[in-house]
Amino acid sequence: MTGYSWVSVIALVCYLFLLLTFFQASKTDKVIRSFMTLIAIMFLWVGGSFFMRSELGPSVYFWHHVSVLGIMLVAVGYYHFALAFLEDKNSHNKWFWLFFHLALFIANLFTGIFIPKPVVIRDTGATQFIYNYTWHFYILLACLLLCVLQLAFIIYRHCKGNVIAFRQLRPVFYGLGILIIGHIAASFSVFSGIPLDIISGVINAFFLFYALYKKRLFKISLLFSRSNSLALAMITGTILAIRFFSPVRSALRNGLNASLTAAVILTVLLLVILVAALFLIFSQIFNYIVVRKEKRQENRKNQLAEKITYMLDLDSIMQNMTNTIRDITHIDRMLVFLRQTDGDYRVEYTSNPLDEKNYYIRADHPLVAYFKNHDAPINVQDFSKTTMFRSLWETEKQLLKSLNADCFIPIITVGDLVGIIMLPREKEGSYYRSADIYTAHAVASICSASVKDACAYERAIEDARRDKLTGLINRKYFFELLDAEFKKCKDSTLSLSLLNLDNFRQYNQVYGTQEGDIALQRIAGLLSSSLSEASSVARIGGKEFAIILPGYDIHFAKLITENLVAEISHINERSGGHIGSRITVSAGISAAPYMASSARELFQNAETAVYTVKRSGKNAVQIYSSDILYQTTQQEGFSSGYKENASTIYALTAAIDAKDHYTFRHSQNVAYYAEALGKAAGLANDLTEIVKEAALLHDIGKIGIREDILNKPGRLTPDEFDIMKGHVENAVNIIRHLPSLNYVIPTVLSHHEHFDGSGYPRRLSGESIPLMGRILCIADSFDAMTSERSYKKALDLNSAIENLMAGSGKQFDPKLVLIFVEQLKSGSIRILGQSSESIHPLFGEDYPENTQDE
Amino acid sequence: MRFQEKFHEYSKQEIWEEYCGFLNLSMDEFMTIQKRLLQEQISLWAPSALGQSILKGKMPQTVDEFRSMVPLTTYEDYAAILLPKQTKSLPGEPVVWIQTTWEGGIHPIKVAPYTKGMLDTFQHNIMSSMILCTSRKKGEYNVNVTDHVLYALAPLPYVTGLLPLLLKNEIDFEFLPPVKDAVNMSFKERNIQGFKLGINKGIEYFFGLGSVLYYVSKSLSSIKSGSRKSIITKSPRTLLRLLAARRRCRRENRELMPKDLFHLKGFVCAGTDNRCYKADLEKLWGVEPLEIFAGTEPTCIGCETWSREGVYFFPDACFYEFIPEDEMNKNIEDPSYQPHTVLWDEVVPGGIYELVLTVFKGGAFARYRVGDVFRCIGIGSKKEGNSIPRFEYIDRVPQIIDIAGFTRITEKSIEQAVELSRLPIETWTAKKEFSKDNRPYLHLYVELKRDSLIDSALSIRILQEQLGIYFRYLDQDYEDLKKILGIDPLKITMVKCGTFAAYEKKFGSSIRKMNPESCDINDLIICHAANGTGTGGASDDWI
Repeated sequence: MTGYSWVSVIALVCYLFLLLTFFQASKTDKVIRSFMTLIAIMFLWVGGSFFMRSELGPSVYFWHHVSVLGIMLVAVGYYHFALAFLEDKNSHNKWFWLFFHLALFIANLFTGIFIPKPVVIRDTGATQFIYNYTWHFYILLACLLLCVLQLAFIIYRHCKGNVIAFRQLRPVFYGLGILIIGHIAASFSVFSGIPLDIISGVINAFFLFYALYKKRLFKISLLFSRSNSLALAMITGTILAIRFFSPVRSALRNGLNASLTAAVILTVLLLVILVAALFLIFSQIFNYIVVRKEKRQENRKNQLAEKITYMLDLDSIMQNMTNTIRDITHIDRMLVFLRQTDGDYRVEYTSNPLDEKNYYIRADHPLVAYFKNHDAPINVQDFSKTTMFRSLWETEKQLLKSLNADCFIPIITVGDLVGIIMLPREKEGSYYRSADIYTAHAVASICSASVKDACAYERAIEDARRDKLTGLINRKYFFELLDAEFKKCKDSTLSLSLLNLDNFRQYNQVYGTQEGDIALQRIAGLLSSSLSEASSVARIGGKEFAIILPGYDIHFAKLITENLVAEISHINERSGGHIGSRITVSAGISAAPYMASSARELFQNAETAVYTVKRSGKNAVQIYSSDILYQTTQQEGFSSGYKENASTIYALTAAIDAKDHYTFRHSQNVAYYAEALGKAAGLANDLTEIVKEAALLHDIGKIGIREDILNKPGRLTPDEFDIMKGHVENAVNIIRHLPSLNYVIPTVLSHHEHFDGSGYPRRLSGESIPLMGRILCIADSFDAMTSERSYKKALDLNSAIENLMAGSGKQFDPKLVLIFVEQLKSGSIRILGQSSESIHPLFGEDYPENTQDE
Repeated sequence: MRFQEKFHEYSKQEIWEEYCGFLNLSMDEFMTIQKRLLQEQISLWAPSALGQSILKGKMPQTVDEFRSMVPLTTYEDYAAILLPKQTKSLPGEPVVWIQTTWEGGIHPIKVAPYTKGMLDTFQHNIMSSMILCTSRKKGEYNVNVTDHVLYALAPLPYVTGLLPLLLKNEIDFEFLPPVKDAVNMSFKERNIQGFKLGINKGIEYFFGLGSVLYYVSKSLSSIKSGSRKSIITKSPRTLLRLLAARRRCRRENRELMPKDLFHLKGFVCAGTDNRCYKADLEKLWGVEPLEIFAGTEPTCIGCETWSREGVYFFPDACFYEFIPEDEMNKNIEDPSYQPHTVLWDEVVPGGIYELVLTVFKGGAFARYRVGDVFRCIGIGSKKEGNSIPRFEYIDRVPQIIDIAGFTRITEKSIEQAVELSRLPIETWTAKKEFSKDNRPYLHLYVELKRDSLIDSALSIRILQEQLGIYFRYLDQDYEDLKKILGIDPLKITMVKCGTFAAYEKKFGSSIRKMNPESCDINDLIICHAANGTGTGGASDDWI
């Protein structure tokens, strides 16, 4: 086989290879189609020539004409390709040249006028093909030249001053240049025997191929597909079989002295082996280029899938996912955004720990909308070309810029976008390989379900560990954490501070549980924002907070706790708090290893310190010591503060009595009725004691009311009534100065609230009125009904009961009224009554609502 | 990446999708973009001092709250902050301030701040318009780096002055004459120079106000005959082209037209009264102009496509609201009435609407009545394969008479002219009308004071001259109309004394001062003819 034949075979293989490659590409693109047409024409040219020289059937002249058709159409093919490449619409000339050259071919087919049939001279085995050209050949050349000139003009027009178009066409120019040079050089005798025309044709084809690649009309990976390796082996094998079947058969027959049949079988066998070997070689080469890498990637992906299947730790999944991506691709930096409960996507993981995490993608971001419809990566440039990109906010555009974002990869499981991986550009001008991006996407897809499950699990865990109202750690997790921290701080210090809100039950009763909840949330917010990240805050009881302070000694723990207590006491002032809204805290501190040898002991000691504060007047910070332990062992149950303040109360009520002596007797009566009703209603002893003491003190605020109003013998004017109503708040203000009695405040404050919400001062209704307040209201009113006044006689029992029943559900709690009436009827409660010299009706005579004493 | 670099990087289809993909948005997708960008604008505008000057302490968070809390605004609402250019009070940092005349305003000009984001969007939408103006079907366009643009635009600080700068950011078009020279030339010089260079280099794009385009196009033949030597260069190619054009003109026995010398790829017109000039422009250039909607306050907000079936709004320039015609009329009758608006996806085909817009990207104007009236001519187009509304520009709101996109005359400006001229005009009504050759003009129906007729010499010509002087004095644009386009669009009809009173008596209310309905004008003329108390004869004259 001559060098000419070898070059031809290689050229044909190359052409077929390119053709097959593009059969897999988008054939709808005009440029691709025109390129394939051009390659097919070149195949006709070279193939025709090669098969003619190989003297294949049907005849030498058939292949000669095929080759001539290729030659005549090559300029037209080039013309079409260039027009498509330039997106030029000069279709009239395009078709003109096609038909013109076809006409030339047909003319030549019948006359041989331009390229005559070659004279075949078979001389000692070697066959020669002699062409006897006439001057007509130059007509053909001129026609081809005209076509090329017109094409050159079109290119010139298109590129005039257009640097970009020129740059795009540069590979085409080079290809064309090499093609022309090759053909000119082939006509020189110096190069005789070297098929420069064919070589230049192949080089030209690859230049065109490169131009298409630069124009991004296909992916280079198309070249290395599995089907291509098989096709390439078969094409090569077939061409070799056609070319070498006869010589090999003859050689075998001569060399081995074999029969014709045996020689044929042997030759076929050899060719089959050759094709198989070629396939093996191509497969190996392609494997080396693509498949080996793919296999490695597959293995890694399988390992990852196995590893994360039962994993519920989000951090570990993220770590595994990003490590795998880093291992099998060239991607190094990543930011992983995960969906939060509010729908936004926040950075949860960065491959570089120094990367900031304070970024998020809004739930309505167009990128999220894009990924909901496309489960495929998108680079920022492509994304910026979508119409939905136009809805991006300027700040979001700035974020993409500041993060130097290059590509986004979705993490989608069953159509649910769980997260987004962002790949920042490594350096300006560098881009990620598309193969890497798609591999990373495959890894993300593998992890997507696990990520979703882990997110849900983490959320569930977080919910289980958090207090719903305040968002702080709850009691259960607090003890786990305290144990863990105790172990961690074995060689250093660990302080624990417990903060117990004072009188919070009353706070809730006075201001309602909603206000109480708000106060708790504010305190929680204050505590969380005032402490270092290493510290933990927990809500371990209704009104109790715990602060774990790892690494803090007693001194610093006390400083911090004192500051926090001071801050808490100002919390409601800043929010426009009202009477009695100041919250105080009893805090206890304990620290290890100084005062505790276990987490349990640490906690108990802190609790003891808190209890000590509570016992000694509340609103203070106490550090645990062995002395206070002794004091706490002396603890009792409820102890009334009334006795210790009895003299003060007596003095105050005596002062009121001097102004309105009816009040003192009245208070005692009310105390009797309230205590009796409390007991009948099943109140605990300590609560019965509280309601009794509240009854004794309920009118103490009248000390601040002007005497002329207090003793007015007629109906009060609205203004006077407003002043009179102030006695409730006055009472609260007085009692506030007797800290050991402040537990009666809610009862006193609510004894003029009516069950239907028409009372004062806070117009509470139903069960939002403290129970003891409702009891006091009935007791207070009953005494007013059954006492004699200057303008009325005392009602008898039946009338009083009637009045009570009439006020049931309006002024009085219906359940309590029933109990009270029952007690009255059974004689368990007797009427005390009272006579008075100076009694005035405050509301007029309209019982029962107004029977209550003011 | 500049637009011209995209030729190298992306396919034609990709570039089309990027710039003209909005045409294929669904209604929902379009509104998603609108509402999302409005949400951004609310977060910028509402807390700004400018926003608060209108919101008076309110703070809208959602689109619905924004529409209910922000009243419809006019330039008066912004003047106190914008005219002194109080940058710190604005929702966004302005990069440039654009200026225009304030028709009937308390100041002669009004200014509008442009932020970086606004300019970026403007630039993108201008490129979309450039692509669409060369397109002959979907996805097919023909924009080249080597193209030339005939410069017929007002320079900065007018909004058209931004176009060369924005285009420069994207593509190396050559302006004829170059922008740096053009800004120092008179209008006439610029045209001569532009055509002279165009004959040598070719002209691929031409854009401007419809009336200006027409005037410039018509001036070509005069340039040719007046200064032929200066136009014809020694270039053989130019000579050949001119000779061929002249031969064609002689054969067809007509004057030289631009289409004989140039083959435009893109022909863009903006402004009012384009429909009066479109047919003539097409005849002159052989290309139907493509209409765009643009203005000082809103930037470029809409563009026609290859089918010329109506203008499509860009989704990212402004948030669009529309006052339906009946609401608009209620508001004309009772200026204190707050008209209701509908959104872009709520318009109905055939409906006439006044445009209300909120500029995105840190723009100053919110729920701003820009003063333009549109008709929705259809929703969805088979030809263009989309499903979104398309609009046709009708005119300015009836309270404003806009002549050829050049001048905007209001009731206030007419009253000022009447007052300054000291003409004894008792009352008047003004209407924008169109001549037989479809050119707009201001038709003023005036009634003189009966007493003055005895001792004053008042002809139509005197009235026209006097009023014309003061219109020119009050309004630079009116002056330019005369100076640049050479037209005086004032026609006066004098009606008999007592005609307006007779009209009022007959119909129970006085005739609207600005742009009354044509039937009302007819009624006035009937009253004029029937009214026997007048002393003057009805007369009208073209001035």
